[in-house]
Amino acid sequence: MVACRSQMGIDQVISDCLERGWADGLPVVPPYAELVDAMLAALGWTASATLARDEDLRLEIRCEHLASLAVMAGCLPSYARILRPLSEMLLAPTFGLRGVATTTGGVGIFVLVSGPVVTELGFHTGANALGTPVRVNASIGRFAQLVRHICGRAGGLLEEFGTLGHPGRLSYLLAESSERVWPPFHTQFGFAAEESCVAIMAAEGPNSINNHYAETAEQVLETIALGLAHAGTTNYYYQGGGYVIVVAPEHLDLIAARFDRTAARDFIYERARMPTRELARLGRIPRQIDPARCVDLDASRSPVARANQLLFAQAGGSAGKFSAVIPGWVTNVTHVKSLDSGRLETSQPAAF
Amino acid sequence: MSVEGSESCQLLVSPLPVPIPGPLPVSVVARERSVLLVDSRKPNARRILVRVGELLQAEGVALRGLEAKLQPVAGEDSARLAAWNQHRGLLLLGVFD
Repeated sequence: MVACRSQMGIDQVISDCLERGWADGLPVVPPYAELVDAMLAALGWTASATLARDEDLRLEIRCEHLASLAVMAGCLPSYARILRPLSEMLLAPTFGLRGVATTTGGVGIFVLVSGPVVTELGFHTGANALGTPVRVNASIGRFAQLVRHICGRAGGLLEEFGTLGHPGRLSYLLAESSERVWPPFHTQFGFAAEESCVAIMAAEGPNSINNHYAETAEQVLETIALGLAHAGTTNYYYQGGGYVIVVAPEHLDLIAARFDRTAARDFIYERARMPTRELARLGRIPRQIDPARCVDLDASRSPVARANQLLFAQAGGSAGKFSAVIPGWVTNVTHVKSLDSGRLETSQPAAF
Repeated sequence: MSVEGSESCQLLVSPLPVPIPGPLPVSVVARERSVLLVDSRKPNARRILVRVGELLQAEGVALRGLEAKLQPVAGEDSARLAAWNQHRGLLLLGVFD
């Protein structure tokens, strides 16, 4: 705990936080002890209790650190129901927070909230669902990025090498609409539809998919497939990670009239490919090929090894024939946790 | 939160992870003129390391081998780290362009 200089104005306190490196570049809510104590109480945590240890770097992350970050991000104690399982997943060794923070891939942590909690906490799911100016969306999304930036860098010992990064590294959250056509996102991981869940995936920025003239579901799905499988998408060689396809209402109405979710996924999986030899010509496949990567130059190649690496989420404004593809980071494992049972499910790790 | 006296003072809670007490032994000087190369499996890592090995061998540095990480983005298990820790020369892990 650090004593703040007396008679410091709020602008000075915020500047002080920035100078200490306690921020993401934007002003933060100063983590005053009384605010952090309220957050700890809501989370059911003891300040000095250990949440994670990094034995390589000899560092310990305690409950007070994440409670402080939640305050700094602008979260309210009433968000604790999500913040606690979210924190546990972010710090799970299987998520690999240090790699997520430091990779040249410049990924952010994409947070997806689904189930009744979306309505209960007042998440926004409509227009601009991926960049909404609503506190619960923006602050929980920001919290995940602050954990990456502060804890993933070991408090500043490590550098974030992202070549370009993307704006989602400040806040990157989608809440799935309660007015869905298909079952909720988390059912793709075996959870019951009536459960509330939070998911995390290290991800590149969202790729917009525009199709306003399609008259059939197949035209929309094929457009999504072509957008997903562009030559520069990261996953062609390792085929790890995965993709979240965010379908907005106008596209979804067209697709769901002819396809259920599994059929739509399989349709995209079959078409989201490029000729492997063309990928090799472009330099997307190395000259010295690792046999474990199962590269067949005479076949077409998908950026995923299995169809179930393609996931759907439903959100967005009611007007506009847009969808979005969110590419997962190469070998990151998507984590999903139930807010009701605490059960954790993950995507299948890539084979190495 | 306030303190006694004429001036108020609020406390801020640091979000930074804290060091685990105890020594952290680090070897900064190789004990023999050799190198063990470890491929990170990042793009072009193996090609770069092979060339590095050739250059070091030309300088008289013994090449003890070229291994590969199990995964490009995850840490190694403790048994593997312990084995590498036995190496008396330079351990070069990497690299990507």
